[in-house]
Amino acid sequence: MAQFVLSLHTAPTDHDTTQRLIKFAEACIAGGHTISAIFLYQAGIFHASNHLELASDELPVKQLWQELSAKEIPLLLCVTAAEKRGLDTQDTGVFTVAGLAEFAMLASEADKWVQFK
Amino acid sequence: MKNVLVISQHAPFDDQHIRESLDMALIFAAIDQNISWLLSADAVLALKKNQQPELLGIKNYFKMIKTLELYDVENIYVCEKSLMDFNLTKENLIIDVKVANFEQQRALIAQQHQVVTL
Repeated sequence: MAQFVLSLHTAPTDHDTTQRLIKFAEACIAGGHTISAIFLYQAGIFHASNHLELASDELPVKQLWQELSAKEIPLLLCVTAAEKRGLDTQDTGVFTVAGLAEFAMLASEADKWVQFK
Repeated sequence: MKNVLVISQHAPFDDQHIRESLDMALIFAAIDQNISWLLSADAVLALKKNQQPELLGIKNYFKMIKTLELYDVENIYVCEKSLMDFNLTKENLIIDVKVANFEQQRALIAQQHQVVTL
């Protein structure tokens, strides 16, 4: 069984990338693998915005993250990338604010780092 | 210790791509991993001498690139073909780099445990 870290680099408007990451994560868990973190980096940090309000017929991005969070996968947000983009890091919902060093350590320990962009 | 490679392909003033590649390279160096950085396509322009980002109102992060060696990021590779595309040579760059052809880039990537494209 392998240990994965996943990183997401695109904004919530990129529905295909978001869904690929979520489906990959679910397949990992279903296959008995572990995910030590899903890390939001670059424009991916906007997934942690507390201003994200989408119409009911759009992809329910918030709900998808809540479902992943319920599977106890650590959902991390890069503080440097967030601050550079002016994101409010006081309220980031299901995401935990983390440093790049914290993620780099997880990536160094993982068998595979898979990027979604 | 893991071999980690950061690959950059974006131009120096295209969003935050190069700055975030630099951050990533520095952080892996800080936690004592064997980090390499490969710049290809438009990204080679990030190493070009005499850039004046202030004229564009952009923060001068090129100074940080020059400090890479101090932080033990010594494995910096530049795509040979991309340098040729911009009519550049090693001498036109702000830091000392290893120029790699396609075969060498393939070998470099094959040596890595983790590869990230930013």
